[in-house]
Amino acid sequence: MSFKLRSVKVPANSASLEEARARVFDFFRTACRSIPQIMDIYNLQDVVTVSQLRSTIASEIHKNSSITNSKVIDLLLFKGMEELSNITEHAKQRHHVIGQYVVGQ
Amino acid sequence: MALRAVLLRQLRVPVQTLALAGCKSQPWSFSSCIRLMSSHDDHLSKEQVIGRVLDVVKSFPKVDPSRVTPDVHFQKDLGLDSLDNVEIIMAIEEEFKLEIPDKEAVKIDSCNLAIEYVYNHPMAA
Repeated sequence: MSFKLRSVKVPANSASLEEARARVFDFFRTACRSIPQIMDIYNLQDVVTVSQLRSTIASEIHKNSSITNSKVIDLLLFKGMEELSNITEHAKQRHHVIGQYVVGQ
Repeated sequence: MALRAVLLRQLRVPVQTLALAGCKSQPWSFSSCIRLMSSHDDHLSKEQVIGRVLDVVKSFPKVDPSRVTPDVHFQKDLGLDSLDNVEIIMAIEEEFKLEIPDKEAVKIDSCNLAIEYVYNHPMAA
């Protein structure tokens, strides 16, 4: 289904902060492009809008904005990608998604 | 909940068929036949594009709406982050139903460039 998000990739190994920054933006764009699918899977149309979810993802990324070690950034991206895959594969349930990303933002 | 979504989708169909029915009831002439089959007559006008792009930028929560003009730079004038830049571009993608490739998205730094890109894109809706 959407297992292509987590299909076997070479693990990220950024040489510089710039490369890590580019990977972060790629991850952000992938996440934003899967938002409509997520809203469809968990029926969030009445609960939250696409732009609110987008802002939530951006603020999660902003929380770690002070990190300068590119390997740490790679690890955080891996965890982020894992979380995104879990959500799009429907491994989570509606109350998980609402509790973690909608309520209290 | 899923049932409600299905029901809502069913309810949305009548509006679309009404629009189609209204269009086809016009008198059939050769020129209107051509127009019906042409997909080039729904280009957005420049004012529409400018209006909608500015609306997208103004509704961004970190932006002060009074400072938004058609040639404002996202990072220099509005004090945004590079991530906020990417987020605005994603919001524009959503508004105009486009998919902007990464190479082009990196270059879009200001309202000017965004309006240019959308206006020149053949698939902007």
